[in-house]
Amino acid sequence: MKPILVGLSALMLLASACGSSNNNTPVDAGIDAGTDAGVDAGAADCVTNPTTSTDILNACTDAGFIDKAPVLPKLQADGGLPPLQ
Amino acid sequence: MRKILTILALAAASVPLQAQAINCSTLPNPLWLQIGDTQEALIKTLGRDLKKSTAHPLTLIYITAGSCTNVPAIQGDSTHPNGTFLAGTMSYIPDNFDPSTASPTCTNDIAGGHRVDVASAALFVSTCKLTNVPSVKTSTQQGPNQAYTLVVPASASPQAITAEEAYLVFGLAEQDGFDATTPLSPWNDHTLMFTRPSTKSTLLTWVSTLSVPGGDVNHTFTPTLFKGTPEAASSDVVSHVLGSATPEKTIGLLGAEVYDSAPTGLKELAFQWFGQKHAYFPDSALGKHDKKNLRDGHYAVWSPTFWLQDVDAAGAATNPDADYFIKLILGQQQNFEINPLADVVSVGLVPSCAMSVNRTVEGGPLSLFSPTTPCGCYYDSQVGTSSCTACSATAPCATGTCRNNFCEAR
Repeated sequence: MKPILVGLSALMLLASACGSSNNNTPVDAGIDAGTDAGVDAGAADCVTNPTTSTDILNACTDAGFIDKAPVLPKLQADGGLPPLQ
Repeated sequence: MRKILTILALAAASVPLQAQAINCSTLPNPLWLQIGDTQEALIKTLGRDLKKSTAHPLTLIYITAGSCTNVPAIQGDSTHPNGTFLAGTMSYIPDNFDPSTASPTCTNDIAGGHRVDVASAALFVSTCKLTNVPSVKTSTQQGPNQAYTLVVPASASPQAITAEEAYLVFGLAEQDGFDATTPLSPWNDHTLMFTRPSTKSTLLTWVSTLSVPGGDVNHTFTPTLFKGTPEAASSDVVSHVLGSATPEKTIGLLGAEVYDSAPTGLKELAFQWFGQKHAYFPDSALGKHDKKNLRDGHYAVWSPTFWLQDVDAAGAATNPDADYFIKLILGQQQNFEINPLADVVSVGLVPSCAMSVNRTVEGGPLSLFSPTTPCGCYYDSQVGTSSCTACSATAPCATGTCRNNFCEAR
């Protein structure tokens, strides 16, 4: 029983430390193909005083998020999306 | 023995009576609605309370249809100068109704049907691109906000989708988007992508959201360009996604409040819009119901609901009951017997007073928003815990204004 409690305590400490380091904590990196597993964007990644629509989308928050960077096979040479069909 | 037989006979006689639909004309204080099925949870909940009200009792009688069908139904056009009249089988809210159950039906026995008193659209009406010239003068009032989601079976592994990925999934022919030889996305079978018809707000909101901002016509979705299998009702999407034999490849479009009230077994995907760095759920986390990310702009797939009623030449409402009902939903009418704001929040809609962002066009850019009579503290208290100071008539706020028993900023 004691090893289990020690293990749980260690996990709780680890979780606590991770939580305190960054408000923008990914809830789950997901397992989709192309996902950037475990990417933590960090506080510098968010906008503190949003004004534009893009700012608002990327404003600092304590809500959980998921990072996903899918490999998109059909992008155009300039990286843009292809015309709809 | 004789007593037992009598009881059995009475019981047998009562069965067909209970199963028989009543005539709608027998229902007291009727208000006739044509609404989107995404708004049915609100109608059931508010309808239960209005049925019990002694100050202003109403019986809500309704049908569900697509938002872009509901608008011309009340506005009329050259073919239907007085609008579309409600006929046939209607749903209604009875006494002592449990909103988690299906509404009973009545037969509309009114000759020629009944005019729509209130219609709703769960998107900007301009999105419908209606070509009819309205023949009836109506008002269109903006109501609570509605999130839209992409859902997969709970057993499927995907947890998020980006706008670019969704653009390819729903925008390209399956052989060209993510085909079986390069399964970089699981969703490459259109028969397992459950969408909605072109009159439905759920589809049209996604159509606008996934169109490339500022893009040309070749990068702008229309309903016909949106790939998938349209389903007539949200409940059909739920049942198809839940019942899929290939969960990993299955995806569906739903209104968030339909997802919130759906049986377990569904999972909504976090969504990352164009220009966004991370994917977010409508709520602060999967399984919560606080709509935090919708309210502050981290979840971009949402639209206001709109509520239509008849008005006179001066713009004044002509049906007091319809006006009363809409004002309850908009938070402009008090009835001390019921709490319409709580009803709105409880079904997953977000009143404008709890929003900190706004938009003026479907799928358009977000802007900061500061409601004149905020209710964010109260909203938080209804979906979790409010960090605001409680207040009352005898315990006023040190700063701010006491609204709904919480000290709001204004």
